[in-house]
Amino acid sequence: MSRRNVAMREPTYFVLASLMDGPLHGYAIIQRTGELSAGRVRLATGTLYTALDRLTAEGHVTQVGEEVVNGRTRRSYALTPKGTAALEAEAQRMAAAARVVMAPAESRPDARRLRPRGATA
Amino acid sequence: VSPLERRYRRLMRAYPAQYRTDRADEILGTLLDAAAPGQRRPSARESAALITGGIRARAARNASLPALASLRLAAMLAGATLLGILLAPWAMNPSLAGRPPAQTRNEWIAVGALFAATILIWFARREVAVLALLAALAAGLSWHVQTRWLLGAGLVLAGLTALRTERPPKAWLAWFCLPPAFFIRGMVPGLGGMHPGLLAIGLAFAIIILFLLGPLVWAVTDARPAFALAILVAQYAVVSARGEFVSGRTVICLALSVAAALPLVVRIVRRRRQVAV
Repeated sequence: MSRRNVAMREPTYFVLASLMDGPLHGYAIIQRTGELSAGRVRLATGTLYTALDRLTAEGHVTQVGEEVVNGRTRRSYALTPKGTAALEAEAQRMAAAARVVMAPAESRPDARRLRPRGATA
Repeated sequence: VSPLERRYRRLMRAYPAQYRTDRADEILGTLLDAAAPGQRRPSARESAALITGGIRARAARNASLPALASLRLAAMLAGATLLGILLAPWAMNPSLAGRPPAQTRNEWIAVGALFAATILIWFARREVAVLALLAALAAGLSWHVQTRWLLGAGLVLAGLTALRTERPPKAWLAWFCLPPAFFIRGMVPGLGGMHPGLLAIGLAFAIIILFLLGPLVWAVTDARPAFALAILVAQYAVVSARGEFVSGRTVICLALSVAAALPLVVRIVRRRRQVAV
């Protein structure tokens, strides 16, 4: 089975989305995912790095910079073209799913023919 | 170093050593950035994420090891464990008390030497470990304290050790928690079927779980202990199949060992195919 058709998990989606406007380091990714998801995605640090390892291995994200802050290495991560494509594909999938619910009732295919006979409403 | 940093560093021991060398500083920086001012203890959420992250990193590393070397190491582990299981009853055998002292002393020396030689596989050079194993087996033979199974397991282990190209990972020593857990279970009267106190049962279970924790975590992250277990169970199945009839237990043991070995075999076949293409 191809993984391409499987929905991306929400934290993964927001980690990729947080990198849309340029590279960020670990803590900035945690803050940005929180902002973008209106506080819904609160990444723990361990979870973030597990996700970054996986996304790097899949080629969706790459390490771009390294600086030393307070004697510690701080690395920055950026979206790759493949990561951008995956993020956009996921956004389109969710937008299509949202349209089904948000669209006016008359634009949906008629569901009456599927109902069992005698059922009301 | 702040107490918080010290505690985070302790939690990060869940990650493999190489991973820590590469990434610990970076992750620690992010953890401290994310900490509240004046925070002294890691939150439960961060702690859990670090532990599961560490287990995942270990699983990823173990899955990337070459399969054939893994097999050889798994077989060594099975041999070492078999020795441990065969040796443990000696240490617990009360009938030793009534035997002639010289015989008892010789048994202790032979058994102790064999056990020490097994542990040496993890810490000593290959030649040293093999020689120690053979010497311990020879001592056991000359004093007639060896069973056929002990001799067989010891020789197989010596052979595999001679073939090895690398030392088994230290984490594998966790495996030796299994025999103690097994024998504690046997020693507690409550788990044998008399009328034990609730406290005794609880205590025994707590100790057994403590002993099993290491092997369990490790079994989750590594396919090799499963394969070692498969070898052990298969050995047991062969022994029980030599009785008059093939019991249900024999069949279950064989099925279990095949099931446990399957993931590793699949990996080897897949690698081979990738190389061939």
